[in-house]
Amino acid sequence: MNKNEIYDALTEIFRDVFEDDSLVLTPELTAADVRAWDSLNHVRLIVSIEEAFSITFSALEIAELKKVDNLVTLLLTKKIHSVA
Amino acid sequence: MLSIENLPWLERLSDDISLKPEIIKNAYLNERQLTRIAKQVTPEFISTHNIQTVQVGMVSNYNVDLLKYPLIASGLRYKKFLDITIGQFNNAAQEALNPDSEFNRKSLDVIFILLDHRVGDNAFEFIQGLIDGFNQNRSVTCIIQTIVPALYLSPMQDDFNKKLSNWISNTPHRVLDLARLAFTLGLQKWHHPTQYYWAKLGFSQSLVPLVADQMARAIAGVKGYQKKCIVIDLDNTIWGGVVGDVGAKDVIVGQGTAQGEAFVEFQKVLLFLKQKGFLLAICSKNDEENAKAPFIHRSDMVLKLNDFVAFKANWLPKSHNIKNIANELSLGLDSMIFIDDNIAEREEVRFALHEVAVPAMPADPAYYPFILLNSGLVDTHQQTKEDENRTERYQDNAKREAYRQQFADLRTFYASLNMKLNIFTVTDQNKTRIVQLINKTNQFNLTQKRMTEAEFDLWINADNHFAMCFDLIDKFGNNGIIGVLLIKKQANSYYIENFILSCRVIGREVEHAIINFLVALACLENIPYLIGEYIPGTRNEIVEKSYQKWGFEFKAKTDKSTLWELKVSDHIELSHCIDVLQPGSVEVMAKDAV
Repeated sequence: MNKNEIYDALTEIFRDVFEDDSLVLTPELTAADVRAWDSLNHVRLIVSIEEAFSITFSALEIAELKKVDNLVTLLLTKKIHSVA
Repeated sequence: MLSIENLPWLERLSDDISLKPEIIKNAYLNERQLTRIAKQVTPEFISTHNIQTVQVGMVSNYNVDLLKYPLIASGLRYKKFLDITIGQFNNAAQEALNPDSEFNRKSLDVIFILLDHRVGDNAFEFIQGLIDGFNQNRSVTCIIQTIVPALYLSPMQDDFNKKLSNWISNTPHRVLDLARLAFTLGLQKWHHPTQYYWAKLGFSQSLVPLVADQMARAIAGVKGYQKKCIVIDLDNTIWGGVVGDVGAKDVIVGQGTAQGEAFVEFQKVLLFLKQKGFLLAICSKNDEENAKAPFIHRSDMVLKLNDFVAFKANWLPKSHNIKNIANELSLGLDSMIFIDDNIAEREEVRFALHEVAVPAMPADPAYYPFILLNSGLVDTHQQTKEDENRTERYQDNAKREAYRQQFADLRTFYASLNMKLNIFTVTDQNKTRIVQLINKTNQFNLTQKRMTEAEFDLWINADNHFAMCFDLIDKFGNNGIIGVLLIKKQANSYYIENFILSCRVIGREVEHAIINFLVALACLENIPYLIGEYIPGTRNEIVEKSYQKWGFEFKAKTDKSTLWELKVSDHIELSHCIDVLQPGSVEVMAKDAV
């Protein structure tokens, strides 16, 4: 998957988890910008992404995610082929 | 692959995940769908669909916050709305022992004690201490998880779990057997070390829909949720092939073929469930003669015709037959389970009768037992002796019905039955059955006040409260314990807290014998009045006029109930044809009552 495809797939997951169908993903988006992005929903978000892309994150990788751009970069290194 | 992780007894339905009872009950929903559904629940939804609210607490040494909404949505499958309070993380002891904690201030119905293998030494004593703490001011049913072994460097926890189960079986509390669930799944699937270190999740987050459903079932069990009758299709459900096409000798069942053995095993499971107290009935689109032929001509059939309380083989819609079966057995549709390999039939029944439970069945009959036994529909939460003999009793009822046809006059019929009524006080041996009657009986139930075993214990131990139960023997057999009377003794009256009779004996004037007995007891104790209350509930209209019929005078009406009073000295013996055994028992009872 290329960067755009990853953004599209992530947008769908973010909207589902945060229950906000107008949410738009930008590289600089952080938890502080989304009202529903609390620690609980962060767990749900990460687990949903793992499930959707059939990948796993290590504890270190999760700790280093500060904004959407970090997440997309990380996903690109995982060479995802298609969305499950 | 078919895995318990995906709740395979639920259908994979469309993307429509809106809040509708038929979707929640029948469709597999993932964690996000469950969460979304739970947030849509409104007070209107709860009242429109007759959903019971249950106050639930959870204490844990791992993070259970993520279970909250999925648990609420799962509760809706069992017609419960769960109002959930989560204790502070890892602070179970504080919640339990401090009388002013949130847990001890709220009136919780059920508390989950969820402690994993990290609980440390003396776990058993610790848990007992928590339960005592939660029960210091009032009774509350606790549900305690079994401990799942860690992935490494840890004992198998067998000793602990066994000790816990043994101890629990003599208390009103329950076990949530997560260890068993984890074994079914595999420990590697259960544990997710990354998620634990990162977010203190006690088990893999992908298992939330499964664990939430197990917890919802446990709550429903405490609240008396119990199915009673399993309606089964024939072709490709209990044997392979279509009997109308191939004939009885060629349907696939029995040793020798893989499929035949799988169907034998499923029949054994159904027989096992019958022995546990479920009624079995057949509903098949077939000519009756064809449908019965394999039972008669195939010796390898485990199930026999006399295992069934009803046998419907015809071409009517299945929903129509299921409704008739329920009526004949005086059961509510919500007591029925329907099993059919054909999804079109399952959908027809779900659409026409949304209260009937209809598990999804897999393509491979080898998995039928696994699906049915894990579906949550056939869990028996309290096993009593009455359950084991239920089929015989319903068949006895059928014999009685045939016998009754011979008598033009009902009274002659009753007299010929040689009915004998025994009266007992509550003991540890009959208590489970009494609580079961309180929670499962709908029709002859004057107030439909439900009580958990813990609530019943509290009620019966209160000053001036006493209860009696009754069994009825007739020429066809012993009906077992068929009635309960709960009495609160007041200054100059007995207040009838509840009066319940099993539907097996409705219409036989047992209630007349019991009211006469209660009046005799009141006379003996110089109590001048009996007070009764009728509260309309689910299908208890048949007793709406009962107090009037028994000579009580109408006293008052509130928006929820009517109140009735009988002056004991004005009582006119109610007629019946029942011998009340142990004539001295009035005095014995009076002594117990004081």
